[in-house]
Amino acid sequence: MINIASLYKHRYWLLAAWIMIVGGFLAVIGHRLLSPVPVIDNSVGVWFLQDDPLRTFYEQYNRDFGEKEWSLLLLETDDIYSPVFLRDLQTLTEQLKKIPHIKKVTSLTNVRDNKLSPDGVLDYLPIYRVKYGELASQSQLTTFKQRLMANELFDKNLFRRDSRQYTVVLIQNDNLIYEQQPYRIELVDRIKQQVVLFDSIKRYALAGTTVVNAELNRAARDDAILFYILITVFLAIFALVSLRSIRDIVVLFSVVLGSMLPAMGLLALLDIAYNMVTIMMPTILISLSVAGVVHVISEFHMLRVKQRPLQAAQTTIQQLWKPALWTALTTIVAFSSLTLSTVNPVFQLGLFAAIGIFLAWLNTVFVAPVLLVMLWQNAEQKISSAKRGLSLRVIDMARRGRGISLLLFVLLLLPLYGLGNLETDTNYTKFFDSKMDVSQSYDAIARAGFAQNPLIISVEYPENSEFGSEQTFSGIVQFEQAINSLAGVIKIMSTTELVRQIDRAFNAEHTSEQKFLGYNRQQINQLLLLGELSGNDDIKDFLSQNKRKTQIVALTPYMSSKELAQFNKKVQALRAQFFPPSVKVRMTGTTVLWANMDENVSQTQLTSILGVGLFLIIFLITVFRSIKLGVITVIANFLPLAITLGTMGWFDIKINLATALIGGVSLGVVVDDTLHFIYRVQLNLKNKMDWDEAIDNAMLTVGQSIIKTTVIITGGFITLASSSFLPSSHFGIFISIAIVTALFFDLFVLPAVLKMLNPGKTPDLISSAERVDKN
Amino acid sequence: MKGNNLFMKYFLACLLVSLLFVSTQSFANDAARIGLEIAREADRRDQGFADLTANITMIIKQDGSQQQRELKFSALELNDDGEKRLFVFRHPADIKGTAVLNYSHIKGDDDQWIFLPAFKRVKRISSANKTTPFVGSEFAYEDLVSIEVPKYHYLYLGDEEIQGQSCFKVQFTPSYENSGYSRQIVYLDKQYYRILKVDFFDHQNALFKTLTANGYKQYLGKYWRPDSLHMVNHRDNRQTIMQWQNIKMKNGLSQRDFTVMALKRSR
Repeated sequence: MINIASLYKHRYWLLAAWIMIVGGFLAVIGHRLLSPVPVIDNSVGVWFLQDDPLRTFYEQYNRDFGEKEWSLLLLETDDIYSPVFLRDLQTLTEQLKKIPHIKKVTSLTNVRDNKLSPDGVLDYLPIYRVKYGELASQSQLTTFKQRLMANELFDKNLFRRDSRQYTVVLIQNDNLIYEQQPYRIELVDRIKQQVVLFDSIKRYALAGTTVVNAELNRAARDDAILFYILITVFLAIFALVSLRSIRDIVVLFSVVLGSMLPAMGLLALLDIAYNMVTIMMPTILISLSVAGVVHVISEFHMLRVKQRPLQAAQTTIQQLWKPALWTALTTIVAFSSLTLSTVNPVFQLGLFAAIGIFLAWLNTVFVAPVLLVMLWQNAEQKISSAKRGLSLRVIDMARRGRGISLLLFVLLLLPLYGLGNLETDTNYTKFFDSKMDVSQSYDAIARAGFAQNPLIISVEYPENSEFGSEQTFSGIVQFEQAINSLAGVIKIMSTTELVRQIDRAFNAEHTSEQKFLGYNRQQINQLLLLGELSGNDDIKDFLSQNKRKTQIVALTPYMSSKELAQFNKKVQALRAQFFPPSVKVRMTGTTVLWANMDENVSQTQLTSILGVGLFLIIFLITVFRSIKLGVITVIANFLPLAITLGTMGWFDIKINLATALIGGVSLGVVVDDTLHFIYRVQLNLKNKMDWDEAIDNAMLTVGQSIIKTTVIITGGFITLASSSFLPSSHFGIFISIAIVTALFFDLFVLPAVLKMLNPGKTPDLISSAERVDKN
Repeated sequence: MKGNNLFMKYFLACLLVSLLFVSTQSFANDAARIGLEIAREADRRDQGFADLTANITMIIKQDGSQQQRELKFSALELNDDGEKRLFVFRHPADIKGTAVLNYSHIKGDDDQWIFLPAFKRVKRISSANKTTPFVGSEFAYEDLVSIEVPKYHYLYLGDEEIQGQSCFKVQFTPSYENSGYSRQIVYLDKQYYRILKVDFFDHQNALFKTLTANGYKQYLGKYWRPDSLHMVNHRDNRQTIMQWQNIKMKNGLSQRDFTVMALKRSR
């Protein structure tokens, strides 16, 4: 049992220790913020599953082909064959090349093809042969258009034969998957700054994983500022309106700072940068730590009406330390369930939030009572403002309006219908508000008939075999043709396409598709060497140096994780059709690894809901010493989650990286109020109140705190809704829905159900209370 | 008098600025002149070997793995117009017999032909692309053709010690089109005018590659050739070692050994 008198005696030591710990961690955070190392982890790799076998493969792939990824820049103009536009495009192409982290830029004005010149020289020169800065003459334009139209390689990736309005610039830029610096934001911004300089370009759109990641980084940066401002403003307003006392506000902030700063300081101490998930942690910690201390402050002031501050604090802790510990425990278990994930950000959120919740409990039961005594020792008696407030009216309505309760209950069950529509799927392009540039860009690219996403299909040959081997060459040609015919594939780019072009240029009338398919290893390798010697440096983008690995870039619309999984199944089926088993075909790239991560997070969270649910059943039955109470409590807390998930299904909100966290976390959070309520009912029964009186008294006392904590937690989580990153926003909105629904169940449904189970029918409820008391 | 003084002041100021400009120009001209003289002297010292044959082994290192290419090399010195070079691939087997004939002119673009034995066909190929890696190595095509003095602008940058030898440090700036480099810093030892090291800079003026030449040996009592050339690509840290064996000069080769017809026989 915690002895407040003894703690109060050593209050200055306690405060000194608090100041040292909090101040120390504050200094660590300050040092981290001022250090040159990025505060936000902007890397792509932070989202990869640590145990994903494709991660190692992707890293090796990057080493083989250079750490590069494709970005697509769509340009809209009046006429892509206009000399002015082409001059601008040529200038833009050269300007883009100068941007740091851009490795290669391919546009209509510098794209080359292997061609036999009229004087018989095999060259690999730009098809647009106009001097830099000059306007093309009519004859130059005619030649350019002829060569452009004649080469199938350029159709649907750089331009469309059926459109004069659009062209795409293919950009290959750095893909530094573990780089924490936000170079992608700068890269995207600089591309945009260049494009807008040209009057002939009416509109533009930029797509690719670089762009998506840049916007994720930008959202994380903006959220970091926005969340903290909003939660601070909310907390200040809540404290002023609800507590109406500077003394209580001091107590409240001591708990908030005492839990949040050490948890965040630990992150800083371990040199872990924030990311899109951990950026939500302070908001979550602030909300949850405030909720606990509000119970203590409310109880303290209710008791202070009849008792001296020290005694009131002692009684408060005597009554609350146990439910406070239980609620902390359930929330810690809920967050700890996230550590099952091998996605670092989710793991970090689970671990450090759990630590923060534990610290909040320590501060709530050890620091807050001592501060309350210190601050209220010589103060006037405080009349609880809540007694005149809205919370009492709500409680009154809950106690009397059984009809309303029943009606609301039925209405709330309706969203359960939506559970059938709930599915796991992630589309990163849908992660942003529809008004944002990135969303509009993807739509514009699709409307123009171009691909939004380059998908990488890697083909790896076994030892003693390679790209040009007789056993596999015809296989890859047919495999590529089959990929090209798959639904959704707009175009493919591959080594084969380049070799075919070299063959046509070198062998001219002596070649045919049939002959090409029958080429032996020597012929293919000699054509590759010829291409290389003629200056074709595009081959190395698709074929590894040892020729055992080649990549096919399939240009497609952006695929969600589910669509990607289906596409992969089709690719693997084609692999089995055209290659021997020793040839490995794998899809790789950031999109693929992100999809794997989503899949894992979603599965982890389903496991965590079940895990947390199982824990709650055992835990609640144990602490209440009653199977009935345990089961009722679990149902009262699972239903709000089911209703929330059903609402998500109704609104077609998918389970993804952030919304997958709702289940486990909300269960852990909402059960807190139920625990406080049931514990108080049992305490009242021990104090010889009759059954209905015990319930009514619990509603009047704990009920007010429950309403306040719900307001705080909901207010805290709802600040996340301000994020332009929709998963964070959805997480905030739907977890708030779960919490408010749980409040309804705690106030309207649970008491009504408990009253129906009167002591005559359920003697174990009373005996369980007695057993709790004896402990 | 005041007017005269003012005039004198302006006059002196103008004179000073002019002198400064002239002296700066003079230093720049001197540096260019010295650079050109060094390049000419190096070229002069290397003239007269008539022809050269050698076997080349290229070891291409990347991420712990390495690959080998073997070539037969022959070159013919032309008195009035550059050099002809013939590369015949011997390994790997898939490209064995593939031959490339390069005619490097003192002025103007090079001429280049290729013979692919698998197709039994010769084609002239453009030499406009000089920047692509040669058979997947870190050597670009333009690193392998002979250095013709008029194809660069020179600037003498001072002296520096390389591999324990006092060297001229000269900047070579390509004057031909389509080079992959903005400039090269070449270190030639003062005693024999041998190239010991070259730093290649890309068009963003960042250090791109470094070449070091090792194991110089003298042939026919006059001509120096390295045993190996080591090229390091600073962008991706890949490396290629080019080993030269069986270097022989004055073998009696003639123009007939460097014709398009000769390409087909070169196996």
